[in-house]
Amino acid sequence: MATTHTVLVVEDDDESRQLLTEILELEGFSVAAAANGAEAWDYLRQSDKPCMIVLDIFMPIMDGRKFRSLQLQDQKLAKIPTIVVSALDPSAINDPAALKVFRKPVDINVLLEVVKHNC
Amino acid sequence: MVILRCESEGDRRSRFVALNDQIEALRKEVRARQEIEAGLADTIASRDAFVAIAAHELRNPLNVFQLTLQLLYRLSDNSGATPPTDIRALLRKLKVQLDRITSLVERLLDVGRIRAGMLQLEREPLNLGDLVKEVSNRFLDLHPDLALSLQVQAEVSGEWDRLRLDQTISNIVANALKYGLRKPIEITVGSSGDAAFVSVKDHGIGLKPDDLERIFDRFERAVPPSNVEGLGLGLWIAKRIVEAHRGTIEATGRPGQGATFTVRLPIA
Repeated sequence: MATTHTVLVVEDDDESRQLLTEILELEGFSVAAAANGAEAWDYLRQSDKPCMIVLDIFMPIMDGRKFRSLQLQDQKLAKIPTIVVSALDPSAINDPAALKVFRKPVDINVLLEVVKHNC
Repeated sequence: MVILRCESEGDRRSRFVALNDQIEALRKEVRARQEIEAGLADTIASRDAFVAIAAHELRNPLNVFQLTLQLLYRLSDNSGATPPTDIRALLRKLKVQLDRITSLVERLLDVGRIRAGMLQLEREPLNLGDLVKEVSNRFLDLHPDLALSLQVQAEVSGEWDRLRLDQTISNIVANALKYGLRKPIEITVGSSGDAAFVSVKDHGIGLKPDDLERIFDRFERAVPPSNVEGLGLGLWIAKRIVEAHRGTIEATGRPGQGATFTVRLPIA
């Protein structure tokens, strides 16, 4: 499975997902967008590995925690750097394997720095 | 001569009944007060829970707001043509207001967090002078006319929570700005014995003796709420953060002669 310069954005809020997609595209990244963990999981199983995942936690159908538990059980997918972006307090996320945990409203410049560093 | 008062059986019975009635009345009163106290505790807990949920729910629209603003910035940068200066100025104004709303939401969440004993520090090696310089530069960016000076008497480092100390110093400087009557504000960083200190001195309305402790309470101000904007939470939060670091925060000052806030943090 090849690694692309694609960032996988997993966010159920339509506005946030579209805006983050547009900003990342303006910065030259290719973006795959998913509205919940299940869509993101389908994408990972069918496509080349993204260079990074930006993941919300509270989502319908499959939330970010369930998605992370599936991802971390798969040796190849577990290695994809993942940024968690949530309205929750970072201390409540409890995901030591995540590259970064950001709280909404996210500082896009800081998030972009991390993405640029890893993609 | 001793006169013994003879009490009849009927008198004793009446007295016993009266005493019993008094005891029962007192018990009822204690129960009623306990119920009121429990009710008040429930009301306070419900209020705190409501505030926490409301603040949490505000994060998603705030996120959309921030992202929209960032996208507008980027589009104006990439448009090729130089965007009119007033559009840039308007974007900056929006950003400042958005940051203010975000900060208010943060404070509301902090109240719940601190009340629930959930204020957790993420300590890291930190140069206090550098941190205070960052804070003061941020204030100068926002208020270019502000006469804010910083004196670092000694380089001092310790294991502290960067974001929380940034928040503490920002709250204190914001307070000096609020009550400082646009007069100079002097910040000093140094060390004394085993403690590092940051002091923020303004030359504004000052503090009455009664204010010196009270201003660190929740929703308290040195002047009536209608005179000054904000939630009245900044110094309360600052004090809790400093105490979580096992440090102290102290206010000194006199009416009309400005105020000085000093934070002391253990270095070890």
